[in-house]
Amino acid sequence: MGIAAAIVFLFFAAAGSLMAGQDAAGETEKPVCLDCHRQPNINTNEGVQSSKAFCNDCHAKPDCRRTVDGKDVPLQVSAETFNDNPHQYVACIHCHTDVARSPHRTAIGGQCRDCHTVHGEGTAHAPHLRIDCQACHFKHKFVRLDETDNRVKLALMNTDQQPIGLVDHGLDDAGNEQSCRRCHQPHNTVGAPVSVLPAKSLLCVVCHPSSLGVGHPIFWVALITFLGGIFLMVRFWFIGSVQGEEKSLHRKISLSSDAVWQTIFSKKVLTVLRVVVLDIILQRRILKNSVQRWSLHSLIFLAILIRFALSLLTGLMFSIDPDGRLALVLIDKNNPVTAFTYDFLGLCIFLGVLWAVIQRLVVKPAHVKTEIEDNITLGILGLLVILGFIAEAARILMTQLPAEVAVYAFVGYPLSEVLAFMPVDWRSAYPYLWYAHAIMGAVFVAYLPFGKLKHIFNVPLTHVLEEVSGIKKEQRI
Amino acid sequence: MESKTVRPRSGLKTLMAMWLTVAVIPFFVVAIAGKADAIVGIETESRSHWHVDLNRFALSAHTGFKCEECHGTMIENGRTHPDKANPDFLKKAATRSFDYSRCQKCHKLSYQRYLEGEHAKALSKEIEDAGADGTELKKKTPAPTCGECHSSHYDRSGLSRVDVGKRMIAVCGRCHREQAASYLENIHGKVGVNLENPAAAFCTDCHKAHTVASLKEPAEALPVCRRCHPKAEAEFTNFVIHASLSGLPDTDSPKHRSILWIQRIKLAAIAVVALSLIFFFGHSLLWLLRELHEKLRKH
Amino acid sequence: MAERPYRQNIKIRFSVLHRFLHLVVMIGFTGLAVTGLSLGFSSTAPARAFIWLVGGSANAGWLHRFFAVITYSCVVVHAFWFLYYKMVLSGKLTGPLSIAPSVKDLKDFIQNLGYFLGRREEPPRFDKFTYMEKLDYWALFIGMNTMGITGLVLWFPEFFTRFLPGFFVNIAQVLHFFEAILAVAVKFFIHIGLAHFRPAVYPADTSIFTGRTSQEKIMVDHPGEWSVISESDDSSGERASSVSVRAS
Repeated sequence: MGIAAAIVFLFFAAAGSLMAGQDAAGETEKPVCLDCHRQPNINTNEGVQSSKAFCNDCHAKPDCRRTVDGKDVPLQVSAETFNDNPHQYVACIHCHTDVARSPHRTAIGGQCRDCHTVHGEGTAHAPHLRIDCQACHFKHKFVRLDETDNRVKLALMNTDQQPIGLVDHGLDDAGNEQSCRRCHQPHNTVGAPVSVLPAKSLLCVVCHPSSLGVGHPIFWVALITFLGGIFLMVRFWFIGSVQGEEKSLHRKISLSSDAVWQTIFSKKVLTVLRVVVLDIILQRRILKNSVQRWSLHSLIFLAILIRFALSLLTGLMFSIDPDGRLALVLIDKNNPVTAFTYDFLGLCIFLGVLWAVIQRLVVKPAHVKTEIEDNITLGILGLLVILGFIAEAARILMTQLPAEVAVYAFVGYPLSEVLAFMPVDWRSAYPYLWYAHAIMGAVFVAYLPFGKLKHIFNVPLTHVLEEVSGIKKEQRI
Repeated sequence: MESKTVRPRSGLKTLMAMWLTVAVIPFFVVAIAGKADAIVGIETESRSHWHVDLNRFALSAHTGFKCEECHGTMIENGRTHPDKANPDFLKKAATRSFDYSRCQKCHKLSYQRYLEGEHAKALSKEIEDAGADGTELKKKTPAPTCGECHSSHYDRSGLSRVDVGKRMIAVCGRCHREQAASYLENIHGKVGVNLENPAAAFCTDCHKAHTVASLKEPAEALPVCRRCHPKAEAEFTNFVIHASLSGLPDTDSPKHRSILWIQRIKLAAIAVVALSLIFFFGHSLLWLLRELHEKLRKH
Repeated sequence: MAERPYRQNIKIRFSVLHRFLHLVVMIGFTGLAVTGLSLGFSSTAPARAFIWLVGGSANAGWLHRFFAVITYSCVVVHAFWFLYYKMVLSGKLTGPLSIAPSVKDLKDFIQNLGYFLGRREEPPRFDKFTYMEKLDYWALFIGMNTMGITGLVLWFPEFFTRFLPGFFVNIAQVLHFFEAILAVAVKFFIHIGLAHFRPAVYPADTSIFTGRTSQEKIMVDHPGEWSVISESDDSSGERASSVSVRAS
């Protein structure tokens, strides 16, 4: 019993001595390899603590410093920088994946993308794909453009050519406009426009992958105008009689909505689909009339339709799989395929508009009647596309995109070479170009239910109604 | 009026009706009755067995170690193991015989963190209560040393977050039964253990690893809640996760009162649901029977 | 119109808006039930299988909230419709065409029980909505708002605990769970059973989808309603009553 007591006593004595806070790893014990070199399981809370303790053995101390080119760089990670940070529960090597080795330096920096997705069009839009996460999400605001890969990264020196200690783990959530100003200011060296521009509005989705919000007030005005126009258009439609009913609007709406419901939930829906594919998307009736007219119309219409489909696809892919290759390719304007496709489609619209202008103003065939609304419509579209290409060229110049990357934008790149001759600071000019194109786009959307572009609502509806109700061809409009 | 034979309007609609009967009702029966065991396949043994299964040991975290590295030689203070003359021979639990301070050899940080926590406090209290002559108190749940939770022979390393979490529920739940059960009834347990979401909160995510904290004080609990709920304020910590009355030291604490209210509302809800279901099902049954009766009488 | 046989005289009972709302609620409710039950009964094998199918509990949670938003939007749209009914169509809140409960419903219930138990030969003369349909509607009203409010508390517990005690979130969870059980049991068994398995409508009562019913059905199932609308049929301006259509 005495021996048992002795054993128990020894156990708790050892425990007690430790509870008293003495460092048991002192002179009396030999260090054991596995005490430090055992790989901790950083999936567990305990493992995270062990892993951090290993790094903190050096990096928690104030004397953790380096001398670079005769200058002193602090490497201490203090507890204060971590206290409010969600990253305090994450092991150092979870982000700094290549640093637990000799020589003790990192080639790739902290790997944010291992846990976080890139921002999409809505939050920070595609131009920011060429920026390292740390450049925005770091407390200190010095950034640089790395010429070798055309990416914006953290600068290692501040403006006084003093090295910066990059150990502040109290990261910046970059939510306010102030942090954007580290790049978006007049003397920036990273090729950013001098002012912070809004994300593309939902109204831009007709041609561009865009955010879900309406955004800037001009887009709100455009949206309200557009909705007002739709309302007026529909009200005009209901002035006529519906299935014999002349007076009661309630009854007209009941009868027409009932007809729609009955069509959708019956075999007639196949007729509707057939009309949509053949007459609306493929424009069969125009082709029957004239190949030239079909080509001209399709250059504009199909190009816009394909762009719209691409915008929807981008939005969908970004929701489902934001880290997937397809999503990232679709929102990257500098990707070869994306750049080529969008430039090609933009060129189609431009050529279509040009052809239409030539037809209406130069060739002037007898059967074509040109009214002021036609010219306004062509003017808006044409100006929109031209401004778009100019803005693209300015962007390529401003961000100093290398030729081998930019060349796939086969309209934008040559245009940028032309613009390069102009003595313009494109960082300052770009915001104006962006707003010009955006306002033009807003005008385009707002004008849709008013001028000749109203036909995009009327004509498909007429086609569907005629086919479904079986009106004879001679009686059709 | 000629009598017409009643035929179903189309095969499709009959099929629909049959499917409803055959699939939907059994689905619910199976779903409610066939509870799958959520915590399977995780080795949780910490019980000491005289024989070490070397196949399992080979897969464990301590594989490759020689016995002497942890157990020393078979001689201690001149006495050889097994020592039949020892009055505790065959009576003392292994977790009270082994000197766990040896774990510090490689697990220094974890051991020191253990000493800061509630489990170490419980252990020192147990020593006090045991008396100076070393008599052990017979306790149903002995205070935990390393060996109570960890199996040095068989525990694996490098497990995923969810597997580690599930293991925790099984191990911690061996003593903290009520807490484990109430945790599994709570959304944190359902999402973590049953639905295996790695972002869920398991025992040590809140109660901290080795420095087990009690979290009774809102000031202690709030930073813990904020780990996943950054916008939480003080009152948020009064959300009850371990909703069991036993084990609450104070019979009139706010938590006690909250749990009583939750139980009362649960009973009321069950009563309302039961009565409503009885009414709806009973009424519909009577209705169906009467309509069937009328229909049959017409032919 | 009087010459046409009653069975072929088609009346529109549900406007397109109501048909659309029912369709969306049907889909939303099913989505809510499947995702919600897989959390509520998460230890069962079908629940775990479903979670695996949708790619994790986070996705199931997102789906649950998505369906909740579209289902509750229908409640909001229905509330706007009610304003339209009251202000534009000058609909009446009480009377034989209304869905508000009345004393007659209690009498009908007792008479109907008597009919079920064989004490009466004929069922009661129901108005536009039988007491059972009214019960269904108002139970849904209470149910959806309960689920909505408790659901919101569970969705934003940090916000609600700024002014509510913490254990209210527990209570919200209890109410949400039990109301869900009640709703699912009633909708998937009672509602579907009464719409499919009743001999009068077997194999299915399609009027909520087509919007249509026949004069015969109105005369048999809702004689109180028929006597009201047959008078207003002759005069024009049928506001809140059924709309006649050609039977083509």
